[in-house]
Amino acid sequence: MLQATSLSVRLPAGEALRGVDLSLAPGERVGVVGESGSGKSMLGLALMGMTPASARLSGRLTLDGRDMTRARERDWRALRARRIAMIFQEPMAALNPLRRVGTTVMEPLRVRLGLTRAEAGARALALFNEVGLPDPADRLRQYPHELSGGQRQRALIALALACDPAILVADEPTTALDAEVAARIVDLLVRLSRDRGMALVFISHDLAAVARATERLVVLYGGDVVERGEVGAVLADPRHPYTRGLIAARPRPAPRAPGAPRPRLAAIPGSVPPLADLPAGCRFAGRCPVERPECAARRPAPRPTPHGLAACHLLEEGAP
Amino acid sequence: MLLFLLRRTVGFLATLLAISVIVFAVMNLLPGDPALTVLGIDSTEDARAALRAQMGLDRPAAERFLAWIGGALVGDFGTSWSFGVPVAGLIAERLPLTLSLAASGMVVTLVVALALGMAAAANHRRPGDWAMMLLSQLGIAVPAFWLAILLVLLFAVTLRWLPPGGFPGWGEPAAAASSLILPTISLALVQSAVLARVTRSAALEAMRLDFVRTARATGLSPARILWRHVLPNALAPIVTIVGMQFAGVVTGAIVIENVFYLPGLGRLIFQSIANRDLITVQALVLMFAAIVVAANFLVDVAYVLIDPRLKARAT
Repeated sequence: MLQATSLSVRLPAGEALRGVDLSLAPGERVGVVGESGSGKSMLGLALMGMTPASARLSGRLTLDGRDMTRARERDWRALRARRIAMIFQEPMAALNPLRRVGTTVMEPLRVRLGLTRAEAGARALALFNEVGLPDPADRLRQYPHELSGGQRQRALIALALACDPAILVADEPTTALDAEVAARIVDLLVRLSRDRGMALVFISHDLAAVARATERLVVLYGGDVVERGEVGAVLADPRHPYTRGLIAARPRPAPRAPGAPRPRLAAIPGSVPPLADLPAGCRFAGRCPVERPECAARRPAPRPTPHGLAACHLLEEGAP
Repeated sequence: MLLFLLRRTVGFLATLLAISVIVFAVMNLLPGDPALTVLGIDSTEDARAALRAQMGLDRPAAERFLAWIGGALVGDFGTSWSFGVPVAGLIAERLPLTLSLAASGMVVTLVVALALGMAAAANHRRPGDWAMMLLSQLGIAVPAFWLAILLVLLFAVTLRWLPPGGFPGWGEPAAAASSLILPTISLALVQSAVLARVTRSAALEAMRLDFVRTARATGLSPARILWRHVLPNALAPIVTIVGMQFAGVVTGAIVIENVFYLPGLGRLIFQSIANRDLITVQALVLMFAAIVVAANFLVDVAYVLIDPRLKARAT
């Protein structure tokens, strides 16, 4: 259904994505993880044809068998919401504050699908029901500032579902929410994906949310896919040093004696360098704990792991 | 909302009262003897004293103020010293022209500014945007009265399409409208240049907001996103400037009416000042101030109508 082959996105500042492969079958749920600046949001935007005007795409991106790599805005517009939809990180900012949320959700129904006001209203009500908004009829008449964070995200999900998309891209949908609300949103996305047979691309830096939401995992770093595979297996047995670092950096409740100092969170030293300063070889060079001299200069090819692929020189044949 | 309107109305009336005090005080501090102006320097002191008594000028200032403001409340602004007829009648005769000129100037300003400003924002950093910025820079730099003279030279003297000035009266609507075209353009050009720039920057600001990305992801057309999502969110600064510009247009009408010989309030205030007809000037200044304060009152109400978040706080 969706196929990205060696997809690269070049911005004036540097390469935001380098040769990313990603395929999505109907109903499939894929997680995309990485730090800020790893290129995961750029990947989401690329799937929507919404990369910045200054971005240059290369490689190949097909949707329903159609090559969209060099598609014009007009062609993308026809697909958005109807074939592929997206929800964003900040549910407050992502809703027009001057409109009732019902008006916002009805807009694509009326403009894209040509429904009458009454039909669109009934459909919006059904959508609000489907995403689990309490008292949906009242919610439709409210403004974004009158809803809670979780309710706003549910309204945005209803908006994304309005035209029955085959694919939903969720870019950090839970980051701005409380942990408990976030978990319920994750469960909602999984349920919707199952009920509707809708593919889900779940972009997050929250490994727990990704493990809960998805079946397959793609780990991005500096615009490269560094590891991929079945989500549980990759998290249980990461093969790329970056994936290991991400997992170690995850906050976990641990038993500790009363008065004992809180254990420091393990962190990957440094942060993702700016695009222009990324090493030409392995993007992780410079921060990698097991780096070897050739890493910064030579790009590692993806190697099979027991549960997928990982791109690290240490996995190459003959490596210790 | 009702409480908000009530509070704003009280504020509006209090402002008007304060203005009337200031206007009255300033007018009465001005040097010069109105009786001398009316009767001329050859008049006798007795005659001038009699006239002052007749005008009520021999009574204390506070008493005169109360009489004036009490009359103004029921639409009686006294009798003009130079025209010899009630000031209220003079104003009522000329107000429609000035308001028509101000309204048409404001409408043209809004249409031109929104079209150009939004088009420039949509074409940000492309030739269309640069052209608008250059044009508006020119528009701001040109003084309205000078533009008015150029327009008269071109459209009235050379091309003879429109009358160079004067007003045929409302009895001939077509002729009346055509005599307002050049004054309207002269008034609107500078204002629309300013407002177009404000619109452009407010729209650019609003375009950066996240919900614009959501709208795009929903597959809405760029025009729809621009007018239905970006513009409403850009309206607050636009409305603020429009309120200030309305004051500018009304006072600008004073100059433009004199260039085009239009018998409006601007022409009247000009004549009254020349004739030292202080009682008329006093009423007119109050009138202009009231129009400006009313425009600001409407701006305050408009904010709340635009933004539901303010409505919640306004009650």
